[in-house]
Amino acid sequence: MHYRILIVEDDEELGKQIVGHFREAGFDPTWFKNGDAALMVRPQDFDLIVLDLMLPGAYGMDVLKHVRQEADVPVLVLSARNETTDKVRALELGADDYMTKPFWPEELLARVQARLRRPVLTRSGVIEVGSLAIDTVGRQVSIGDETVELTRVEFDLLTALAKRPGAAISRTWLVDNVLDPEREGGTRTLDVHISRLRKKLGDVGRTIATVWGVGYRLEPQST
Amino acid sequence: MTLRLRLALTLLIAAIPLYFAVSWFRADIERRRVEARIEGWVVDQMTLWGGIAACADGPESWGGNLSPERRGPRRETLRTGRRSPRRGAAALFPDSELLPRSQKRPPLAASLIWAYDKTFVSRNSRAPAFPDELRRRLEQGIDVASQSGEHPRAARTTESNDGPSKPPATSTNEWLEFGMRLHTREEACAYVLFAGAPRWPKDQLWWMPLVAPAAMLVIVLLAAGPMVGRIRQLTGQVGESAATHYETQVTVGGRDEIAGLAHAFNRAGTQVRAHLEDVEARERTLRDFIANTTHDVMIPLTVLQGHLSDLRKKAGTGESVNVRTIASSLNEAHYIGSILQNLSAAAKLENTDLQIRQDRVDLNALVERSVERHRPLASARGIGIDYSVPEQVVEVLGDVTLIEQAVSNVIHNAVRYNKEQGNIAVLLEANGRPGAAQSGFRLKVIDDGPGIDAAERERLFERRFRGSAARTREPGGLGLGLYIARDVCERHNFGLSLNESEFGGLEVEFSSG
Repeated sequence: MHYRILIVEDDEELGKQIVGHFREAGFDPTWFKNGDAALMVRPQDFDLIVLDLMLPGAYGMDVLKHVRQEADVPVLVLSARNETTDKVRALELGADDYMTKPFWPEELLARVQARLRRPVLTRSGVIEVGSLAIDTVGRQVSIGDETVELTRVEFDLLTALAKRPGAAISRTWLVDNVLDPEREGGTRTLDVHISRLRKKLGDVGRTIATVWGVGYRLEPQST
Repeated sequence: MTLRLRLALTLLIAAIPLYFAVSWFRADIERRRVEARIEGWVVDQMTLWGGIAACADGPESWGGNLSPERRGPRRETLRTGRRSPRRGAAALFPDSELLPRSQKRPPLAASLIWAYDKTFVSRNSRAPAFPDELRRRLEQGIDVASQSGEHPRAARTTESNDGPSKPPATSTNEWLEFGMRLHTREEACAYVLFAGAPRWPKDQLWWMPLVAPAAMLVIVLLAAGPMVGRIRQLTGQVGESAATHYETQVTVGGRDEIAGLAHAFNRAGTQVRAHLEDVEARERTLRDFIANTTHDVMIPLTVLQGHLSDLRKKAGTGESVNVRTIASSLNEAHYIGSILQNLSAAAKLENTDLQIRQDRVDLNALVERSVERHRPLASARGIGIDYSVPEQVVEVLGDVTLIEQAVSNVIHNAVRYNKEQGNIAVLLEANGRPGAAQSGFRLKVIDDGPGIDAAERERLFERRFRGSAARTREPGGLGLGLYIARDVCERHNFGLSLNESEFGGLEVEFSSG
């Protein structure tokens, strides 16, 4: 996946660092040092834009406007000014996310990856996460070609996790929204159901991670 | 221009047209008076002294020049008949004994007189033609008509007959002609024309119209005196007050506008002083704050420099580099960053008049950002950090920077004071059932670190970040970060509570609704 990423950053060192990190992560970065140059590009040629708000030449906000007029490409705004006005304005102008300096390169990378993450493939009530396929209408779960038999609660738990792969779902939410409050309740029951579910799913079961202090998460798998 | 000068000038400008108007009015009245007097004089002469009779006696020779100033040969020109030649002459030359004292001086300086019959034709061949304008007016029925005429002296060249009709010389060129109806049955003497240079009484009261403006000027200047004095006094006191930074008050008393001005100045001075004190207090606070913060930043910076120089030394000699040293360096760098971030939040919160922005803040994204921001630091120390947010976005109204700073500070503390291989979880929950209208949130930061005992927790909130005790870096001295978190919560009407978590560490909960 060679995502093309446009970086608009005037600081020499920081720009170099960001470009280096993106290369290492397997992206295809293009780096502009000033806003005027950024106004010349076709934003739709990129999968994501990292934009510094304090730029020589055209002000970052102008670049943002230009990008938004041209395309829907995600824009992540960088700013050294930790000012609410800037953030609110950037978001109003269509920025998808922002980060204030100083930041860790890993942090930037994580945020970029989160933005690029493909949405869950759902077609007519079928949720697919890796080899796992959940038919929410027919209430059928299959891994590859194999159908897995699940109880009602197990199916609902798996569906709840699979709807938001990669996101941790809290125990409280699962207990309140998935478990039947009349018959069973409490986090202990939940943990038992999860452990049964994991067993039934075999290898795929290991992708249901326990998140400390939170609950559970279905890790997204690259196909 | 001073106040007095301005007043005087204004009065002067107003007085000049007034003076001319009054003067003209006076002159006009005087002129009418003189004219009336001349008429009266002539009529008196004609009747009292038998002028009409003389005319009737010899209209062919009656008339001629009269010159009261030049008694002499010319008097004979008025010899008017046989009956009483002297009397006739005397009739037109007032005798001093017979006239009232005020009329001793005849009102006409040099004059002539002629008689005309009903058709305005004189029997005396030397008489000039009756002036048309006067004739017209007399025919309309008026008894006496007058007009300014041309002084015959100026018209002398046109008059070849250098006879007695030549009028006597006068000092001015002014010439008045009077036509008068004589109520007599004498055909030849129905009208008389007399003319002369009027002798205006010398206007000895020319200064009269000046009196009123002059008096007004004096009165105004006198009245302005105390006022000007008070204004000068006020000016002086204002200057003194300003010199003492408005410590002393202005003491001009009274109940007039100047006293009002003095009061207004005192009120303004009080405000300025309050503002000055406020600014000075802020400046002091800011100075202390900067001094303390510089101190706070210097410590991690020193540690960082130490680590870096150690690393360079080891790298130079090829020694193996301790990962812990690098992790610690990162930690210090991150700490410096967080202090600086808090500085701007603190500066904002220090402003007591601060109006909290009311933007819609996406708490899901905020939690994600805050956790991701600390993940590298946590990973470096082997601390697990994770979060969970509801599927639906939780929104609150507020200032995104301040709320993020508050949440970040709590997470930062959790990372910083946790043990290695510890865990941190951040949980965001919306109040109420899913689908229902959101009425608030709960945001928990849970760790399994050493925690803080109950007694210490209570005291944490009492601390102010200005106190140096609150600024220590050791566990428990959560100081600035926590103080800001609390302040932000207060300003957003969020609850903030510290409890022991179910894992033995600390559980910090932000809540609303």
